[in-house]
Amino acid sequence: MYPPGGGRFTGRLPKSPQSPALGSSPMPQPAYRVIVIGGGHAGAEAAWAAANMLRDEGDKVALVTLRLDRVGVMSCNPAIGGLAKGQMVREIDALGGLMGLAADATGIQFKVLNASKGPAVRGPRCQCDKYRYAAEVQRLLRTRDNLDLIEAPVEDLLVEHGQCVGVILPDRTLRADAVVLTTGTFMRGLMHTGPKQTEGGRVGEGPSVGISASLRRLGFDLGRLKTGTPPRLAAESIDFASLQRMPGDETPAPFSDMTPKPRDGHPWALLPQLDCWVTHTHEAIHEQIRANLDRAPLFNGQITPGCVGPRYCPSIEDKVVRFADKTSHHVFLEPESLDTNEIYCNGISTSLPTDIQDYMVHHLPGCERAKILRYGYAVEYDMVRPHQIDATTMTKRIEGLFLAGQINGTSGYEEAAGQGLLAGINAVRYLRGESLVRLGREQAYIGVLMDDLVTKTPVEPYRMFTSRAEHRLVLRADNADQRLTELGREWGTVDDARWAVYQDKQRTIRRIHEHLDAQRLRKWIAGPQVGVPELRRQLAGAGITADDSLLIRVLADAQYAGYIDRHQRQIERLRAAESQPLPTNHDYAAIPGLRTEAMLQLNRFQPATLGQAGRLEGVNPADLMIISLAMSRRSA
Amino acid sequence: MRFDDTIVAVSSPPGRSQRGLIRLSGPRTRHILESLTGQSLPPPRTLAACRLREPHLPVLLAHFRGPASYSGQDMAEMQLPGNAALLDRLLHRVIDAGARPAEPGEFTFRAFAAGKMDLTEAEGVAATIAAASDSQLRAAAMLRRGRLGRWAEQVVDQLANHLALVEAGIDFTDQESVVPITPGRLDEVLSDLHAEIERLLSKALTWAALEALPRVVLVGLPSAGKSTLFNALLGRRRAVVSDIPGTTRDVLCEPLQLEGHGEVMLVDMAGLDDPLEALDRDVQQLARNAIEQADLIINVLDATRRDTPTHPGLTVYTKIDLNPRSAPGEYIGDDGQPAICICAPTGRGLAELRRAIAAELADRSVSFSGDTLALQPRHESALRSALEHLNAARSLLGTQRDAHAIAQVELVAQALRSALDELAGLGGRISPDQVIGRVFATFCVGK
Repeated sequence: MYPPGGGRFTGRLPKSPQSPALGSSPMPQPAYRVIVIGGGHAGAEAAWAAANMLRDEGDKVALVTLRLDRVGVMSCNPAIGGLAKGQMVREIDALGGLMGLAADATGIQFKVLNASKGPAVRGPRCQCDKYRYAAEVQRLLRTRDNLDLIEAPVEDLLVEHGQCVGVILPDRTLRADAVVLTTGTFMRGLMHTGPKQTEGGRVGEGPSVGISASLRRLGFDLGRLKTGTPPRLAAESIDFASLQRMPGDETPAPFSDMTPKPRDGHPWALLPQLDCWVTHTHEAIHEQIRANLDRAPLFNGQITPGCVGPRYCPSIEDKVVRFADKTSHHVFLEPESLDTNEIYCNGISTSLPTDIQDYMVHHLPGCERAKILRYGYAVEYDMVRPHQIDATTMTKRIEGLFLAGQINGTSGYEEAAGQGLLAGINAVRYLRGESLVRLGREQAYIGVLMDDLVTKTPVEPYRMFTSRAEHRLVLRADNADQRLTELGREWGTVDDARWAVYQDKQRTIRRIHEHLDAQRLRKWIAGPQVGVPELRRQLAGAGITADDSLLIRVLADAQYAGYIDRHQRQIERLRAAESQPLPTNHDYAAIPGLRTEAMLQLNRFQPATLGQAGRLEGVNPADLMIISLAMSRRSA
Repeated sequence: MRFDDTIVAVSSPPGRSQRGLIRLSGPRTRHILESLTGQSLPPPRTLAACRLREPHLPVLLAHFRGPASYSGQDMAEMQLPGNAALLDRLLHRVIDAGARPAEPGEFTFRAFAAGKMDLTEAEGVAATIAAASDSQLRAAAMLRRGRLGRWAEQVVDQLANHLALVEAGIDFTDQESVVPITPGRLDEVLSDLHAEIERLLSKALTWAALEALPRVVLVGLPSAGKSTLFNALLGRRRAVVSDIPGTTRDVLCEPLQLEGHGEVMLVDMAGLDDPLEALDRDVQQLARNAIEQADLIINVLDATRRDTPTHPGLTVYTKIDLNPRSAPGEYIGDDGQPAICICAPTGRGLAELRRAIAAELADRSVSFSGDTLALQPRHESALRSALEHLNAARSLLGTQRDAHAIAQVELVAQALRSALDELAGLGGRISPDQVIGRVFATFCVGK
């Protein structure tokens, strides 16, 4: 039902591992097939995917990062998933990624958002113990003996004949067949707290300067974005008794298909679950903020002008200015760990000076005596404008160089991880001389994300929302494995154990459908009054037991059937254009009949397929026909 | 590009024409014809009189089996009296029966894709597509500027705002400040929008509005240079000069702006020069009709030959660059009548010709810049589809008007999104990002 929708490059010859003797490096080093720069959520996923794909051959992957103890760190809110993001975590898991595994192992509050709404818009989310999460990511990565974790700053990219063939460290050069770059907020990172400016991508850590300069030298067009984080408070100094409690779901549902279910007899090793709490800002706080806007880096010009922050994640000073008539904003107090006292203040991300942060926190009900463990700050950083990559994550300018995560102008752990996974897969496919793969907009939120990145001009850090997906009814958390696990198996990221689980689930689904057909229950199940309990009862009679997630999928497929059919027809209609490749570095000015507006867009974006071209703003169906004509002429 | 669906377009020029022509191409062509006529079809490649069931009227019908057709696919042409309202109705029936409105130049594109033209002609095909698209874009731009466009923008704006409210109730339910719209309130708004669109459809102008433009018809022998002149006057390639047989089997018709003198409809009958088997007699009739209805005829004569004007009106000598005797601008022809000499490739004499047209039609040309423009069939069908989607949303809301939150909200959103997409051609496209932007403008969301 979900064949690969991505277009493909023409194949190229497989590369043999580079012999150190042939390298131009002064000190020959053992060759890596893939080097991943950065150990955040994109980098970890990329290294994991590449190492898994190359495991059988014993080919090596390196993850190079500034500090190994910071691999997998949750720099901002220690939560995984949410609306649209939860669907992405399920997709990452279905493709054999590690985010779902790490979240299940370290979650301290699980909650399905929109649980009362239709299955397409439910978003699983969990709060994690941020220390355990990072430790789990590091542990998982260390289980791969063909993956080397290297602590070093990368000073430069090694580029020969238009191909990225390694990285230059202070003391040596590492050669590789492909390089994945995941710099997060570290490229020329600059943090602001009031007038105080600190270079670095995360509190207590320095910036990465060399890579930004190398990218510029290689001709990449860089932009600058901003994001922020709130203060952290000490739990024991908060009066929780006076606050509203926000518990998680009674029965936590895991993200990963590989996390054992209770019915398997060996229940999931769930950590103790914690509550969150909610408090609210009020006018006194807002007035204090307004009175000190001249000291807010966001408003006094201290943050590089034109450096845009996300509208969906505004700082508290932004909220107070833009929604002046709102007398109160909520603040969720979320525990960050089972072992430490840190509380995350979800809702008051800020770069105001510390004295204003003190005032703000101490005027929050329940926080009058709260101790601030770490002040909030804004961070601005360089990104590569994403029209310079294809939806495969490989740059159009330098072969063998893949970009993933915030460097492409996205925000969010899940968005980063999805790109990292795809980058890891394509880095390996590239060095093997296989066609690079894309995920279609109808296949995955990851596909929507990549397609949006390469066909639109971003105005702010890109975050996924379900409303960005035109095939939202198809891209559900409950059917992620059905959409993607077979692809992951084909690509080599789905191991035997996961494949067995998947096949088992598919067998159960088939049994359910056989039963429904035999009992003529098709119409019954499509009715709105049928839910999981009714379906479970019905199946129990036939001796069929299945996870709730499977029952939800069966119900969703039945209840959305009419809409899904329409989506399928639409997808079919677009398929031809999606698979028609367009040349790289093509001068569209040479095509007669193309309107100037369309020509300029095409020259800037250099779409990889006719489908991508059609989604560029200002390119209409007539332009596509004209391009198509020119291409058939060109290939003749 | 897709070729497995069936496309339809009105191929005759809008406005005053004795004959209307509707063309179809694609695999469902014959099926659609049979459903329209309710009887089996005449043999291919013959022009036969048929009676349609709805609208109940006689048409001349010819169908062609692919690949032996212009587009390489099954094709058909239906000729009916050139009445804009009838054409509209028939077009809608064809769309209802499973065809989709063709993109500009799409018939020609399909012909090319089917290998009906060789690569050397690709440029000409591209020019045809570009010109068709240009004129459609311009029509759309005029539409957007006009009263209709302003109306459509308001409808789109309202719809987008309410889609944003619905989406906020999906994507930002974890935000306290987001107050989702209630089913009752949304239903009220959709009911109003529904009525708005229906009101517009009921009083929409048809193509008949275009009849207000005076028609300037180019008349001349084959290869006198009519198409070249047509393109030169329009300032771009509209007619395919290297005539691919069958590409322009009809008259070409384009509004021509006369600087400071309003607009006229320029008509080129170059395509009628080629006698075409079955339709031959009819085509000649069409040419005669076009001439009869002309407000001004331009006799296009080849300066290198000794031709004389055949009709009253202006006389133009083309190709003066090939005739050393003649000079650009006005001169007195061999018959003693004033004439204009032009050289289309260099543009010499064109300004004089424009002035002469304006002078001949003084006070008769009208300007389009005002409020009126016909609702094109594609727009009308878009409005009708939008109505269907609004109905779908309303039927989901119908049973829950008193509820606090919208049930099946993702399906309601889907219906509104589809309605919005249908209206894009009229009121402007609203991207998902713009909908999200409206959420951010309305609610304070964020961590």
